[in-house]
Amino acid sequence: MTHRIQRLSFSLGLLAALASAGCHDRDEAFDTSLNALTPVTTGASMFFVVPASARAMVANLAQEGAPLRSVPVGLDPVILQARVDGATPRGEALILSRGARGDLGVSPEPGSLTALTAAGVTRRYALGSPFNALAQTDDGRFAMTYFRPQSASGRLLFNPNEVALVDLDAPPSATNPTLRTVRSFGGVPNDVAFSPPIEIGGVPRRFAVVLSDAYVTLLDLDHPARSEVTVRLTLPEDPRAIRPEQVLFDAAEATIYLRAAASNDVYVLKLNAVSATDALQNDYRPTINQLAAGRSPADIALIGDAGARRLLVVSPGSRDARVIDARANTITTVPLDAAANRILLFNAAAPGDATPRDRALLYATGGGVSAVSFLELTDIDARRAQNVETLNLGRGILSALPLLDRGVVMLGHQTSGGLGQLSLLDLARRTAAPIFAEVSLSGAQFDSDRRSLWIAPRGSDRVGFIDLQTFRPGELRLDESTELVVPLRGDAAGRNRVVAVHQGAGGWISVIDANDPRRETVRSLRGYLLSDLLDREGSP
Amino acid sequence: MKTYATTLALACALTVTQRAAAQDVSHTGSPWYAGVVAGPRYHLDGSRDAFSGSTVGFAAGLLVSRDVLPASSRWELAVELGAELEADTGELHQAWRTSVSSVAPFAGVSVRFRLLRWLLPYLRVNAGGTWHEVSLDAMDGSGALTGGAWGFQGSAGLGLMFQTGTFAREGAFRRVRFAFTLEGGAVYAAPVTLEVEPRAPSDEREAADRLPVQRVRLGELDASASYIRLGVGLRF
Repeated sequence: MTHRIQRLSFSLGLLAALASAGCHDRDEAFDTSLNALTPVTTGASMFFVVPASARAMVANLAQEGAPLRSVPVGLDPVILQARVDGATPRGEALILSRGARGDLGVSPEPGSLTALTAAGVTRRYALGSPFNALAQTDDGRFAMTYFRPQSASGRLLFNPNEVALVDLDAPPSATNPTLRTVRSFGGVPNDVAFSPPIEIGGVPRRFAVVLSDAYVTLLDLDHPARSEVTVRLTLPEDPRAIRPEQVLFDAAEATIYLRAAASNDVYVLKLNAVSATDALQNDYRPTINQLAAGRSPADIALIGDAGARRLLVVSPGSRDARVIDARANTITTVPLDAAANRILLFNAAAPGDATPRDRALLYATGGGVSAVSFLELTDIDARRAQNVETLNLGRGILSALPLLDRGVVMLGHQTSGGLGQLSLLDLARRTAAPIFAEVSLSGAQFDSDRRSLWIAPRGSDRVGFIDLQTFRPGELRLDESTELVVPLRGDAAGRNRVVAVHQGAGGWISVIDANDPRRETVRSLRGYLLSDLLDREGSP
Repeated sequence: MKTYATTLALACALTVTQRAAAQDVSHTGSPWYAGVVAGPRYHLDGSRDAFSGSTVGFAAGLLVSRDVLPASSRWELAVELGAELEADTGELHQAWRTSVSSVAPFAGVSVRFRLLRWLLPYLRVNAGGTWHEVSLDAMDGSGALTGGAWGFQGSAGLGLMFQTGTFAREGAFRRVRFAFTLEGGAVYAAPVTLEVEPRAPSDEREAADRLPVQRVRLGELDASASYIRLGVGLRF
């Protein structure tokens, strides 16, 4: 009998041990933050990225009730961008991840760029370095990752002049991406601009122009194995920090125009064909020309037809506009009544001239100047100031949204004298009509076919919209205040949608039918960042 | 469908119990047992941890059983009915206060062997339905998400029943005695898919005014666990 009891006691002890054997630690992933990068839309889908869990989520918002897809991306994602569509809609998002340097329980992981489709399929390009900036070509084929200056890199050693060029149309391979270190004169890349196809010596190619303090670097995207070409904007002994800010390309003339902060000149880089001795040698050589552009040039634009292009510059410091012919080395100065720091080119009629012609609107943002200038570009060299018409608006401009297909510019103003914060500037009639609004243009977004403009004032549970056919305003009440509005491409039935992103734990959006903006047609989605929470790989 | 199956199983179990009650078949003369059980559950899957601050849960329940074998046997066969509740709270993603509860009505049988007058090792199996419910209250005050789902659950365990003598030799308490149980076993819970949606406002006008919402799929909750359970009750 005693033996039986002993056996029973042993059995019960074993049972208790077995029962507790299934015990496990709580997954730390359940305790990480759900704060997400600013979401982006492409096609009919919206993409979200949660850095702490290194996951991306895709929601097809055109289909009601469509499940959200959750996929892992590289560790420490820092940038989420919609991939530029180019000629054909791609419906992809790009996620730049810095990787991990390795820590207790975290294996080292190189930086990476993940291309994510709306179907949740990913291509991951290993970049190696923890880049923190991303730029794309206009057609979305190439992406360049680089280091934008920041206080800390999070690594013991890194090379700030390293860049990676990714061919997004090609799968990841040993040669894709191409890693390069651009030549440095002590600076680091501030920005990257991509050229359209430029034909040199009969061979079209695109360039990446890496902008650094006092110099620029040209990379031939179609011949990534060739060495880069660096062009200094100052003499070696010149200590000025000339910082290139704006780049324009004249593809027909194989010319690059640069405007730089802290410089009163514009820089003209002519890319001349030269004969190359081997395939790895560049077949072009740039020459630089430096032209005076008034005091503190603030904006540049190309005017004229291909083959006869000239550069229009506005310089608020000298309150003038200049037309620069880089080939002839001539400059035409046009004095302005009102200083301007922005150029808007348009083609429209004018009072007294029913023929649509190329013209320019010159205006100043910042609120300090209350007049705008209309500049006739025809015969500007001879007529100069006679081609300028000044229109006094009575208040300064903070921002401008051109609606050139409607022939108007929507201007945002400071509130003053009971006037609304918005006005519509008719480019042909040259009149400004106020729109009474309690909101600013900040964060305003067009819907995907620019039929309406959407504004979400902070702290309000309402979003405002303006029908751009009739310029009739309206508003829509939602269930929560809106952080930002994001346009979504229309579905097969041609219905456009606008997504209002709210602040709320786990994600909160309202999908608005832009064609029929009523409360009854809105649908809300909350907690989508928790989607597939229980099925994730990280769960034990 | 799961609800109908559970109801049918309960009805069958009740019929068997009522027939058995027509005769006093217990050797002890105490064919009924009613008691409470409670104890830790060691979950085998991490999905429940999303809503719980601890990986070890705690379940409690009520149990009623009726012996159905003749009294002469050293073996006791009992049919039983009961329900268990397991509830936990926790935090999720530094943003939500969470709670999860599982209510499991069940029916089953247990086979006891009278080793000593006061000691009865037993084997117990049961099955039933389970209603799982989760709630996530946003710490930033932006509201709560809730969801629930029915699932199937079955369990099997081995245990010991310790029983006292009857309270009295004659009279109303001649059959009444205390019983204590110590049991270990495993619960198989079929994984259920959980979806959540914002909790509707309590005010009818506000609820009617709310924008239509789309449910979010959280994934599959697997509540299978091993357990240890202590019980106390009366045999009569």
